[in-house]
Amino acid sequence: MSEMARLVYNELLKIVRKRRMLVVVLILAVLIPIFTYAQARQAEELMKNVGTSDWRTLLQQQIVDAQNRLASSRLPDEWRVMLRLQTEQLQFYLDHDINPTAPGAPTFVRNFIEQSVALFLPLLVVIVASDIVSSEHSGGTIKLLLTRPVRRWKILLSKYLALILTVSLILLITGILAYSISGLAFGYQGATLPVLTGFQEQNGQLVVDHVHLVPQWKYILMAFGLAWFAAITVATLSFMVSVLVRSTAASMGIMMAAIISGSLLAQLAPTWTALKYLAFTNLRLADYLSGKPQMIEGMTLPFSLTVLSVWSLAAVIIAFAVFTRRDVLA
Amino acid sequence: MKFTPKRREVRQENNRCSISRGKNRIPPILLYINEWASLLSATFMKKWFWIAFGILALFSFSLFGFGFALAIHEVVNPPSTPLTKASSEEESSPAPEQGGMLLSLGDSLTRGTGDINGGGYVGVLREELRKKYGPDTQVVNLGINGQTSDDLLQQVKQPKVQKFLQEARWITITIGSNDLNRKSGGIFKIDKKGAQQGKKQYEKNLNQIFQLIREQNPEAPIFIFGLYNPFADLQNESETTPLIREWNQTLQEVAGGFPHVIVVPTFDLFQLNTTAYLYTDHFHPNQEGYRRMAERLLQLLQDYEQGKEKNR
Repeated sequence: MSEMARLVYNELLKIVRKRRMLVVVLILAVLIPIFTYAQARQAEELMKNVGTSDWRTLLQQQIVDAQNRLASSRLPDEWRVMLRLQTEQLQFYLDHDINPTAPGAPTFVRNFIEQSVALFLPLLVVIVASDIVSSEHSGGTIKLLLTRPVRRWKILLSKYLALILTVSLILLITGILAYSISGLAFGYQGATLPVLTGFQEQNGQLVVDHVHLVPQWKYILMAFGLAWFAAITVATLSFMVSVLVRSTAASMGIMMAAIISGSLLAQLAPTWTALKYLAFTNLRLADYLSGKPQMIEGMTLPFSLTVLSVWSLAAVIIAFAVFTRRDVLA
Repeated sequence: MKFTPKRREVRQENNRCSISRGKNRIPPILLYINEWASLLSATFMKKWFWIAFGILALFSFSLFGFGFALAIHEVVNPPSTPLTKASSEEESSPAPEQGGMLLSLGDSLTRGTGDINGGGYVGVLREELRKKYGPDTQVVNLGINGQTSDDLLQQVKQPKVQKFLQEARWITITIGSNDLNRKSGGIFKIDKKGAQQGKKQYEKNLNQIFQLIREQNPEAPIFIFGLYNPFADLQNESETTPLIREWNQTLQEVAGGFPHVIVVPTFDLFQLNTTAYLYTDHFHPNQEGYRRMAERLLQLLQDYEQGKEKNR
C-alpha cells in the first residue's frame, strides 16, 4: 500500500513538475474572466431591455400573470405543475431580493459547468492525460522507470490513480476559479437559489411529473459530479491512447479530434441513432439535470453512464494488457 | 519561498532563458513568467505543498464522487413533489374520451364569413377541442354560404353527408338567417305575410333535418345556434326584433322535440353593442363575435361531456 502511495506520489510529482497543471490553471485563469465578461455584457443588455430599476415590479407582474394562467381551467395538469414551480421560483427571487437577470457567481458556475462539460473540460483533461505514458517513451525515461523492482501493472496503476486525482483537482480548481473570478463581477450571492430539476424524457416528450426545486449549491454539486464522471471517462480514454501511441503530440491530436468530432456528429446527424453508442456523444451529462433534450433520441442518464463505463472499462483493459506485454525498445 | 537575492541570481543563471537573455530575444514579460514558474517549482519541492496537494486531490475526488452519486439518485429516483401528487389524484377521475369528430353544418356563419382569420366559430372550436380531446379530434365543416333550411334539408339527404353524420361525436348547425332575410323581403320593407310563411317552412324543414340526423346518429349532441338581429342598432329595430324572437321561439320548440338537441342563444350576444361584434357588412359576426359564439358553445359542450361521464 505504501509502495503504491509512493508510486502515485512520484507520478503526481511528474505531472506537477512538467507544468501541465500550470498550463491548465493558466488557461482557466485567462478564459474564465473572458466568459465572465461575456456573461456580464449579456446581463447588461438584458437589463437595458427590461429596465433596471423596476425588476421587482416586473417579477410581481410575472407572478400575477402565472397565477392568472393557473386559474385558467383549460390548462393541462402537467403545465400547471410546471407553472406553479416557476411561480415559486419567481417568488423566491422576490423574497430574497435577487434580480434574476443579474445573477451571482453560483449561477455563473452552474452555467459554466453545464456548457463546458462536453468540450472545454475534456480538452483540459486531455492536456494532462495524453502524455502521461507517451511522454515516458518520447523522453526515453520509460526504461529507467521499468527497470525499478516494481511490477509493470503497478506502475501503470499508479499513473492511472495519479491521473484521476489530477482530474478531480482540475475540476475543483475550475469550480473555485469560476466562483471567485465571476464573483468579482456578479457578487457572491445566490447559493441557495432554487433551481428546477427532475425533467425526464419519455418517447420524445418531456415528462414534468418529477420536476422539483433544489438549492443551487446542491445542483452545482450534482452537475460537477456528473462532469467529473465525464472527465474521468475522457481521461481514461486518453490514458489508453497514451499507452498505445508513443508520441505525445499524436495522442493529444487523436483525443482532441475524437472529442470535437463527437460533439459535432451529434449535432450534424441527430437521426443517426447509432451515434449514441459513442463515448463522446454522451458527455453532456449535465443536460439530464437541466432537462435540456439530448440531440439523439433514446438517451437517458443510465444509458449514457453505461456507455461511458463500458468504454472506460474497455480502455483500461486494453491499456493494461498492452502495457504489461509490450517490448520496450526505444 | 523566501529567497535571498543572491540565490535567485544563481537560479537565474542556471536557467535556460536567462542564458538567452544575453541575446536580447526574449521579451521581459516571458522572463518574468519563467521566474515565477521557477519560484513555483521550488515550492513544489516543499513537503507541505505535497501534503496539501494530496489532501486537496483526495478531497475533490470524494466531493465529486459524492456529487455524482447524488446526481444519479436525483435523476433516477426523483422525489415526486406534493404538487404532482395532488394532480395525480385529480387524474383518478376518468380522463375525457379522446378524439372524435365535430361536424358543422349550415350557412355562412358556419363557413366563417366575416372572420379575418377565416376560421369562424368552427376555427375557435377546432383549436379548443384539440387542446381538450387531443390532436386526433377531427373537424368537418360542411357550411355553405347563403344556405337556407331548404338547402340544408337537401344536404343532409346526401349519402356522403349521412356518412359524416354517423361518425360525428358532436354536430353544430347554424341555419335560418338566410330564410328569414329572403322571406321577409329584406329589412327596409318587411313582408310580414312572407315572413309568416317562411317561418312555417322553417319549422317544417327543421323538423325534417333533426329527424334525418337522428336517424343517422341517435347519440351525438346537436348544438344549433339561435338567430340574432344584426340590425339591432338600426331605427326599425322594433320591427325586426319581434320577428327574430318569433323565429327563435320556433327553433326552441322544434329542438325541444328531439333528444340531445341544444339551442345556443346568440340574440343577447349581439343585442347591445351590435357593431363591435359584426363584420363591416353589418350582417356577419366579426372575429370577436365568432369567438363569443364559440365560447358559449364550448361551455355547453363541456357540460354535456361532463354529464355523459357522470352517467357512465
